[in-house]
Amino acid sequence: MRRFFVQFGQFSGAFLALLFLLEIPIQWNYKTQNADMADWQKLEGINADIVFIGNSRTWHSLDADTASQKTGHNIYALAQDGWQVRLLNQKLKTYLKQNRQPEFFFIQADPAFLGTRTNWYSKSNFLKYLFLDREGLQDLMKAYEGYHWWDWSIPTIRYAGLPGRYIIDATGSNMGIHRRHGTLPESAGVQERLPAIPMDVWKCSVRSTAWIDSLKGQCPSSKIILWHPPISQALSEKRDITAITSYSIEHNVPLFDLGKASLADSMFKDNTHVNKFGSIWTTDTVVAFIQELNALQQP
Amino acid sequence: MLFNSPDFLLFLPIVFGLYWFVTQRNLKGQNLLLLVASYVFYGWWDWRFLGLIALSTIVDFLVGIRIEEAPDKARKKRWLWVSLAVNLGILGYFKYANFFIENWISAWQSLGVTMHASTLQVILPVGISFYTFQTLSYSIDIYRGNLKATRDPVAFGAFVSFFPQLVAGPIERATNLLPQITAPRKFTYEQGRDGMRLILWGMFKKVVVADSCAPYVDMCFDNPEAFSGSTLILGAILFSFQIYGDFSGYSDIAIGTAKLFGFELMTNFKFPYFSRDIAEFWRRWHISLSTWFRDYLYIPLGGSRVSKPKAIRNVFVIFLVSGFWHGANWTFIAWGGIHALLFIPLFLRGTNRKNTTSIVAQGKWLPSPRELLQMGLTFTVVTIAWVFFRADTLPQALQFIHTIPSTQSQTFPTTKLYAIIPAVAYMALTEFKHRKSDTIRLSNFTAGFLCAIIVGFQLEINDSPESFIYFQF
Repeated sequence: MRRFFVQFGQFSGAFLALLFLLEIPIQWNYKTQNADMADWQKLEGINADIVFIGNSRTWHSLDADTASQKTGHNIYALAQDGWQVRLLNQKLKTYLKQNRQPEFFFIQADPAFLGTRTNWYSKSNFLKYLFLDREGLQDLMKAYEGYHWWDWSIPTIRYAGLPGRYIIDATGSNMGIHRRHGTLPESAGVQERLPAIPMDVWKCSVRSTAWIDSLKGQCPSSKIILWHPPISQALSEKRDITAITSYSIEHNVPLFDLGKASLADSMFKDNTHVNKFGSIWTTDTVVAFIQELNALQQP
Repeated sequence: MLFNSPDFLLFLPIVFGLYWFVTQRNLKGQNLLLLVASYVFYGWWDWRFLGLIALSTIVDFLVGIRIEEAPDKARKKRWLWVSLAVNLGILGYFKYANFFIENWISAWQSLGVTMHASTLQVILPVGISFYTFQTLSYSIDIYRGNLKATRDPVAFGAFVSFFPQLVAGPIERATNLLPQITAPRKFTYEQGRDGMRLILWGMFKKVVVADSCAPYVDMCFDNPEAFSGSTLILGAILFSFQIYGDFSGYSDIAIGTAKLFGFELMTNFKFPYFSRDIAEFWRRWHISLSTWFRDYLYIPLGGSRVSKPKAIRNVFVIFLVSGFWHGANWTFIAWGGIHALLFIPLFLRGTNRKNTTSIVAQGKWLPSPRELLQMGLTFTVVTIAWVFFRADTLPQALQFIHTIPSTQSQTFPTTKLYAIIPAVAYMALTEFKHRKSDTIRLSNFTAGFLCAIIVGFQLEINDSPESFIYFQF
């Protein structure tokens, strides 16, 4: 027995050492090379006047840098692709610990963000952001299909089932995210008319509006605005946001609805995400809306 | 719980530690631990179906004692029927009910009678065909007087549910496994080392060979008309290696795991693709099932010691039932039928036992041209039969075969073939080197190399880990 254990210990020790060795470039790249990633983790000192919270639809639609320049306000997009409200709700808590409450707080109000389906995103969506987790997001991740306890417990093993990904992260390939003020969406390329999020109907349930209360509750002194980024015409035919409009009326919260704008297909990357042209239009529309809000705010 | 999951990576050392360090002086404690661990292992998949294993265990435990105590053959037989009815009833309901309902409706509809019947919403419990056959063999062996009924319910429970081979075999005989369970076990270095090496080799076959072949094979079978003949031929060949890597890999891990607990399970595969005819293939492929059918079906039917027509009937019966055992689908029956048709000519010529004592390239480094031709031919017909095994329906299998010569271009999609082909070649060469023995012996260097390859494939080649194909049977 002793001989068996000594030999097995040596062998498995060498094996674990190999896994740790493979982990080194990953850790190093995430912590030092990828400034965008690090920026996303650094929420302190932003103190934005206006915060937009949402998922990739907010992230793609709003060029927060441009909007900041045009309005003269500090606008921040607390948005993340591959995430839904369950995770952003947690991220907002961290943001508010390090920053003052915004004057205006825009909440993305659509089924893509407020829905909590667990099968929309795979591990690859979350991997890069959770790696330097500081907010206990791993616990929230457990609800999602594809999450395994070993992803964060055994070094390197988290890359199993994501062919090619280890090489990308180990070699420090840039993720191309401009995190500080959102992102400049990709340029208009070939129109991929594929639904980015597999949805038969674009419908919000009444239950999902409870998340709005949760987000709102964290910013009691902010003026809340619900906003619905644009969707393609094909998807708008399946749209049913009665629960959102009812919420807006019942709670006297304005709804800034760009989902009903009939934008041409040439402004979309796919059914749920605008491309560069769609982003320019959305950002300009948002800027105009904010300027209108400012006008209302002035005594 | 999958052998290739980190859950098992945690489960195995815990059970191993408790087994050898906490309960090692107490045989009953060890057996109880095995029983509990086996139920946890199975319940990890779906705890609701533990009741089926428990039912099968209780029935056969009691029936075994009744058969032994019955004063005459007639009463023994009656009790045996109870075991057969319960086990085959469970199997029939969970595995074959929908098949029979659907075919019953189709048969009437073909006669112009419209029937309205809905199929049952039955989930197929993992490994049901394996453990029901294992318990059945226990009752039959007692009935035949080959085995004494055990009075130890814990030992019997551990025998039925022994986790290393519970869900995909080898289908152990009570005559082999039960005496090992009721006797004290001792850990030996050699057994532990061999066990670990077999586990590693099984993981290599599963993760590196089978799982990397799977996407290519799925691509070909999902949409055969979209690909060239050469792509489909390669798809069929890769399926031959996928199913071998998957199933024999599972068996290796099962046998290796059992060794860690001091048990010796029967060999389930003896390098079947080095067979020189179809009869030799069947002596080397899924040995625990083919010998089960031989002992409990073929020989009771009269085997080959009856008139020629009856003997041919018996061959057909055993192959068709073997096919049907794999699943409730005509494709499996067709697969069994093809093997029967391939076997019958050897049987009629009396050459089906020609290659029983020798191995390929006996005493030589390489096979002779004649042996190569024989091996190639056997592999080809086995691969064609696998098309029926893999296809979802008979028309799909026929379409797959029909598409091969009908397309002109000879191209191969580049999907990871750079990794798949060397992996398959390495497996084939290693097994060819070890063809004289029943098992693979690996040096520490090779073991380390295999570990690195497994990690590399998991990280960079394979998509999500695949379940074992034979779980569905």
